[in-house]
Amino acid sequence: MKYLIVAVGVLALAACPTVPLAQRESAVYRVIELVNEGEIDDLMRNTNNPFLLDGEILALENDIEYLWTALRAAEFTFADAIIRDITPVTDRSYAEFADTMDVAVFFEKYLSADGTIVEIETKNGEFLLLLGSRRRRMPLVYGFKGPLL
Amino acid sequence: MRTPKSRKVIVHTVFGALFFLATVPLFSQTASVAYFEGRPELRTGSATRDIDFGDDVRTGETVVTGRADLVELSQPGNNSIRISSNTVFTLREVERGGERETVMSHTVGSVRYRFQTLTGRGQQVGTMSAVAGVRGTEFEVFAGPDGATMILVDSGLVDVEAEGVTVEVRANEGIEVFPGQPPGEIFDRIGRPIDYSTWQTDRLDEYLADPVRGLERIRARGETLVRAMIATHELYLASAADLEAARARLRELQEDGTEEQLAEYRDTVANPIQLNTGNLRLNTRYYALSVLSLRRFVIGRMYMTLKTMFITDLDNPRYREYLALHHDILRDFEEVVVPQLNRADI
Repeated sequence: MKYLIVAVGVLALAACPTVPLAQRESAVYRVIELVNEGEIDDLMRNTNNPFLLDGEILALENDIEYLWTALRAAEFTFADAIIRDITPVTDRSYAEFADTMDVAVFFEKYLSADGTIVEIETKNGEFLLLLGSRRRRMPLVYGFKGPLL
Repeated sequence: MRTPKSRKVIVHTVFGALFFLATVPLFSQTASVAYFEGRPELRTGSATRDIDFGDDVRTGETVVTGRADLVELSQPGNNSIRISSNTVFTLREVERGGERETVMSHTVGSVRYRFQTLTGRGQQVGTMSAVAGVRGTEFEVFAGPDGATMILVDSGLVDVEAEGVTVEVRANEGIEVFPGQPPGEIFDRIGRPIDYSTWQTDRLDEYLADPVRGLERIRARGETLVRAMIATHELYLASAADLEAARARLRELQEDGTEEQLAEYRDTVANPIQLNTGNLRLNTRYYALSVLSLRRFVIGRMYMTLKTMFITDLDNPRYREYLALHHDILRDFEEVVVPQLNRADI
């Protein structure tokens, strides 16, 4: 009987779809910590190219690195971040960043299949993080928007 | 001894996107990767791949170099194009005077061109001196983050055109062109070392000193391109209507006409209209893609720069004014230019 219960438990677990890394709170907090405190090189390795900043696509590695470096130099971080919502991307999710062809195509072409929008509240305002895929046990950062007005 | 006059090369600058045009179809429509360093990319529509030796770069394709990358392209006749780091270089096609020409453009970064051979009919041939053979033309083009361009000529002659004004730049001379303005004063390069990094920093500093003015200049020049796009598109629509009528007439002749009538109509009416229609569409797309490059590699990059600059002062009136102008530009882009683009362009 004991073995039957274990077998049923294993089968039940196997039947559950794996939650993408980008939708796990612990992984999201690791990304936030990387943005706030990590080495820029490490952050770059977990940042997708191209990158979506609000409604603008940054397509050059140099520009993405400039973004993170300049934010760090300005002592800007996602300080005291609290996750408010985690939402898998749908066909219309792009409009949360900008209702433009540029952004729609970015979501369609560059974002991984497990793309996720994470709404966070921080000391510096509310932001949307666009996450997906995985690298070194963390989701990639595909973009962010904010602070939201 | 008179200095040999090299074959002349004409360069059109369009607010930071430098479009090189020869007076003739200068190049075949491809260039081959002769050398590279780092991991530069080749972007074709929606696909991106790493560049390798011997790869062909065709019209419609873009070479993107990162900070540690470098690419050298070669073409027959010992012509070469050296694409420096942090550069986005595209081969496009445009129709001018009945000929399809390859246009080399880059909206950001630095590219050095060396043309040993100019081919094609109607080319301008400079006067030869006692030295036999044709001297090459070698020059470098910087595209600034603010849409400005600098052209430095090592050898030969380069005609630089902007805002309807053309100036001739000779060996050891240079010139700057700012968005929305005709070419600046020609300067002597001898004793004046210029490097891209320093020039780029200066351009950025000037833009950030008055970013609203900088963006307005870019917008003004962009509107010139958009007007050209709209005008060409209207011609395309008219030609497309003519083509539809011509095709209807062809169908009539196929049913009721003779083979000779059909062939004559096809050769003298329908085919020329079809060619013209295709060329007008090509040129409309050329302008639209040029505006897209401006949006992506000048306006978009400047947005990022300004955002990081004001990230802890988002209510700054200067920043709010900049954002309002930026918003207007993107709205117009979405309404007017996007209909001429397709998803593979992004």
